[in-house]
Amino acid sequence: MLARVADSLYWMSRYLERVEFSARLVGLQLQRLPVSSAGEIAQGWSLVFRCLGAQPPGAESFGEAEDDDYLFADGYALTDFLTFEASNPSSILASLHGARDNARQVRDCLSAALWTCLNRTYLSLRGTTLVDEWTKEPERFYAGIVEGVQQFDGICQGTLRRGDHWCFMQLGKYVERAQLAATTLLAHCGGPFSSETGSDGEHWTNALRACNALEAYGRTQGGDVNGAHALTRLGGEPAQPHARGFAAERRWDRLEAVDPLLADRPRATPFAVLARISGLLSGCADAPTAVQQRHLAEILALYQKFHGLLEQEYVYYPVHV
Amino acid sequence: MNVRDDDRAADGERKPDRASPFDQYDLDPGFFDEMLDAAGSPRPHCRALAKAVGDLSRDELERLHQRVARSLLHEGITFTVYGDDESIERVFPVDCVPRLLPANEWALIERGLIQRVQALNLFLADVYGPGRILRDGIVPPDLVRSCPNYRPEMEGVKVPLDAYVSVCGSDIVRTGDGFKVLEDNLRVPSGVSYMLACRQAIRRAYPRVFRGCRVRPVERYGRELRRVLESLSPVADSPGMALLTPGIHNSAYYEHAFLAAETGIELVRGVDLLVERGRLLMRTIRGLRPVDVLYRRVDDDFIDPQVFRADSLLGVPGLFEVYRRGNLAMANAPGTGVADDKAVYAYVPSMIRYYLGEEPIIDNVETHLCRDPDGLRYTLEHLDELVVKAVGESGGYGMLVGSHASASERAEFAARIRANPQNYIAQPTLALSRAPCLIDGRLQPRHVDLRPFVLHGAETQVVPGGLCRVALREGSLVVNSSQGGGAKDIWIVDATAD
Repeated sequence: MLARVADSLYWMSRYLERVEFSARLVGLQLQRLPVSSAGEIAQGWSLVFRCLGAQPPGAESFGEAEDDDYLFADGYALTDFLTFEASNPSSILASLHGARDNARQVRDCLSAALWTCLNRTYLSLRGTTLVDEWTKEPERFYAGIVEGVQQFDGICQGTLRRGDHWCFMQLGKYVERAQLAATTLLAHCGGPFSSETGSDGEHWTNALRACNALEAYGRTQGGDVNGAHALTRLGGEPAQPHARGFAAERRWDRLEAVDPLLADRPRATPFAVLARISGLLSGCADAPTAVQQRHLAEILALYQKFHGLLEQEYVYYPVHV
Repeated sequence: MNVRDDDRAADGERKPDRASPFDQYDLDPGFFDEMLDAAGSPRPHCRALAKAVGDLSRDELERLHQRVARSLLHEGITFTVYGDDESIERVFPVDCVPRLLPANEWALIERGLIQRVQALNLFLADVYGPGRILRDGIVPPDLVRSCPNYRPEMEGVKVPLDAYVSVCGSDIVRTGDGFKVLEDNLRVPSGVSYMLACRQAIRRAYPRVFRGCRVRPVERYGRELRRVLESLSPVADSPGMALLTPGIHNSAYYEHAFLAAETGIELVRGVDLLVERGRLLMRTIRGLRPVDVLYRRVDDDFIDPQVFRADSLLGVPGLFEVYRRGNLAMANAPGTGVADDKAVYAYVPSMIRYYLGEEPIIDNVETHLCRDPDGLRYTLEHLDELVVKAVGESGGYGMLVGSHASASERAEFAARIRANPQNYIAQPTLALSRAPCLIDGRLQPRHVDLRPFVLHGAETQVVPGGLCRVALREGSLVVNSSQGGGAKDIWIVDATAD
């Protein structure tokens, strides 16, 4: 497989994962609007932006946003910014555009059904404005975006050969998923609800929901959600589809599949990074909040490093002519 | 129109009690209609289709058209228009009523194109080799050597199988005098993917009629193209093959991706390739891998900045040297543009006689070369009757349709011709045949042409079909997609299919 193709598939999957995560997060926040107080709504928006690692519009003029800043924010404007805003490179539309652009680069490697699914999802979003959806059922609109990405994923499972293309798509998906999950955990650990209060439970519930992990949590834990358990589930439970631990395992598999030679050199740098991430994860769940935060921050940095190593190993390796 | 009445459409649906899409169809005796004869009855090979279409109401046909358009939109069957602020990526407009050609007419086109492509390949091998045709005065040497697409770098280069043109798309029109070749596209002809996409969409629209007509298949194009590319390879076993594209912003990018998938070869850009120790290599995730055959969809000018345009970022430095040494086959070969130059075109019938000793099976359109004093005088005196084309332009640009132009536009064009007569040729305004197209909810006749695709390697073959281009604007003769043209599916059917 061409190195450039690997890169495009990897990025296509990263963008799609971002689209799904963002749409789920915004949809959840919109669901809560009618039943929440002004303070809860402000904290909700604050968490949404922190989970996405994003700054609200105008942040460059007032610096780091505080929860109170969102008290005066207009929910419609924030939603539009996160969904359609052209100047926001992480908006859902911009991410979907990024996914489609990368898919176009490698269109010959995708099945017709796969391309059509992605193209249709993109065209449908591009042809919509928030005005069209805001007065109807915006949650459904965001659920539709999530479904579009999940359908893509399903077609992928059903039509794509388990070869190099598949591996790099999986790598992209899990690297992005892991980074988003880590950012989400960091946002919750560092937030004002890190103590075990009722609000803490609610916000961890939302964190699990955002990561599509609430139902699985309920089945295995039952009862109320608490921060330590949620962190364990999201961070270190391999069976959780959105857990970073799982993501790390998956990437390990994928890496071996992409390049069987790597399996013979377990000291290769990407493996070493993954091993370090696994170590930090296992020590994270029961640690004090400050340690958790430190570990999560390091994990985020390691994912960034891992991403760079992948590119160096497979895409931008030096050639001496 | 005298379509046999029936209360059931060919595809089994009840005929709604509404206006037929053929109502008010303007059957002009000055133009050959591809579906209806002079009396308004369907031609024998079109009966089943005419009945199926005629049995639909306008609303139903419009819905069918929308369904076709939607499937093309979702599948991303697009082309790119440069400088269009609204959106650079446009869906290819496909009319929902196919054009049918009977097998006997197709047989003539097929034989004519095979003859033509063989003669053109012999011409290219000759002008870059011994130059007999130039010495014998059949084609003026200065016309060839001064042609911007003549590549002296190709002189003496050994081309595998002498197949300079492996993929050809010649444009054929039908006038009152029968079929004529309007031009040959021998460099990087495009449109074949749209032919295949049209077929998919239209077959879904008329499943029963399609089956009943026993339409000849076009779907094996990808396999045949791959076979031709393999036949050119300098290595015997498992050649590394790639299709070189300028990238996603190229107007034909959809086609490049489509063909790479159909042929199972890598779709590469210049950045994916490099030259090392006399070989062309591509960067893969497992290191560098050789490329033995390159189906390049990048113009000559841009394939190698060391030999052609130095500012090209689309090609690969050193690529031409690999080719010249015989370590790489390229389709089409560099320099083929000299044979599809609009002025050289006038000599193709002479080439056929010279190399093959045969009369052309399909003739050219009468062409006046402005580089000749007589041709120039005739062109200027009859500007209002002629279509004048700049020899170096394509895509419908740089041309004047005299009968559609104002007096001042003609005067301005005449000044351009006088200033640089070598750059222009003139042809009579052709009464291109017309075919029914769904426009504004009813069927209206529009001018059409036909671009069949020829593959040439160890043998020459023509795909049974092609891209039927349509001038969608009323009265327009310009069929290019960049100029408001669209396309139709072409069905090659038995003359008696009903």
